[in-house]
Amino acid sequence: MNRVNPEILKHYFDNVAKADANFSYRGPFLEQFTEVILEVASSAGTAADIERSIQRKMSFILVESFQNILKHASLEEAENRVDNGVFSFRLMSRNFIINTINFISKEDSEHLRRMIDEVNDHNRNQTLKAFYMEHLQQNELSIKGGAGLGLIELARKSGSIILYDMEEFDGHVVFHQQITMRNDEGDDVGNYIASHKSRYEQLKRDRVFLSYSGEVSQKNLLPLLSLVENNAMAGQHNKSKARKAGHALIEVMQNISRYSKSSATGRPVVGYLNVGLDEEKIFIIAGNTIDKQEKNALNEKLDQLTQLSEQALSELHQQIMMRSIHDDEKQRSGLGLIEVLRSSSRKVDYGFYPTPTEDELFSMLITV
Amino acid sequence: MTTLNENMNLNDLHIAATEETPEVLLSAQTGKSYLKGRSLPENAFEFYRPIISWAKLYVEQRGVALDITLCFDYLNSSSSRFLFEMLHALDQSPESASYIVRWQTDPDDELMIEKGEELQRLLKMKVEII
Repeated sequence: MNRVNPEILKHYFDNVAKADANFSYRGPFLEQFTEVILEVASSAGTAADIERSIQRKMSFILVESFQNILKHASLEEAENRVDNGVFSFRLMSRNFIINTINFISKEDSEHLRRMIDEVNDHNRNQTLKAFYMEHLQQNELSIKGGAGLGLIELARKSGSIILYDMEEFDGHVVFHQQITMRNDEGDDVGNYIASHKSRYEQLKRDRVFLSYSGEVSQKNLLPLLSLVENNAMAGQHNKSKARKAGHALIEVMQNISRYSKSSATGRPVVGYLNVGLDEEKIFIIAGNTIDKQEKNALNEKLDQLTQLSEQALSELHQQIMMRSIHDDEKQRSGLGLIEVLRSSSRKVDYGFYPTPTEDELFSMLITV
Repeated sequence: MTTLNENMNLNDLHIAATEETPEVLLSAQTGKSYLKGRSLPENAFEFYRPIISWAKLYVEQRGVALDITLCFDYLNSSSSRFLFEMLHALDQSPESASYIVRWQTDPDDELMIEKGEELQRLLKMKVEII
């Protein structure tokens, strides 16, 4: 079995079954991604019917947390570190949780620990605002040269204690952080630091740099496309490969959305997406849950299409194009699936896996 | 008796680009037209419907095709289908073989080059990949 295979999606499906949206990104961390990640979160927030005022707070803590990683990413780059850490968020029962892992120096870690402990004490004692004002006046510099107000603001805006952990590794400190914004019911959200660490290890093992599960819509396709394209460009890949990955992503996501049972019922379409790098190849593993009837139809179609040569696929594509001129059905033509197959440089691999319900998880691997 | 289409005054059709649809200029005055940008709406029919109608009417009224330049960063399958429907409408003009479709693409973008080559096979108009 190839080490990258469609079954990988199952790990992420199992882990996120209860989440409304779950997103993880492992570097490279670039300033331009702030806006893009914000768009993914905003789209998830809208899909979950979260009020605008809450979404604004979500955006604030997301940007603040991501930029915190950006500050440290530059340090890692200077030290030629391969691993950048990870930035994740999940939206679950209208609770918004951001988990991050990044590397910091030992000297910085002590300062950071004191700072967070102090912020958390003030938060518990409800003296955070006074502490904020005090800091604002002093304008005390933080470890990376910015005002240390960021942490206070994160605590104030999220309304929660900042959870963290630090562990020494390879002469550095691995810093784990969780920022939690609880829903109106004030659910006890819990500490995800350990499970997020496992997820990070899983992402590294699977060579996945972007993992997303949640609503698949045109609104979040665009930021995901931008992340994949820019990530590929930031690496050693040529423009052609980045563009090819973009083409494949568009088709595969739109196929999920178009053919999902939910799209017919008007419910949000939930999809699962992992994008990674393996031996200089970009791979996309994407899928969704489908029922038995859909499974049989899709399986049969894919079995037929994947047997076709490149030439035969191209001819089939042309035939459908010609036929579609006189076709009144404007939604489905079958071209999308063919384009997914054509965008893959290796034979597309796919599978169907059991889920806790009667539906099965469909997963498809495209290699660019 | 004149048909409704003959009575319709054909104006230039200009549509500004969005994040997921291209800029479109179909010129009734000069015939020099273009679509430029990314085209990836989930259901491209809504976007291409007025463009297809315009092309059909142009051919019907003028009896000629257009000089058209197509330059896409991304063209999803749904857009490919309806773009082809528009080109097919132009292709029905009597002298279509003497018209040129300029397919502008990044030389590194294999998929877009393939899409251009496919149009070469499907249309009577000359498709120039540049």
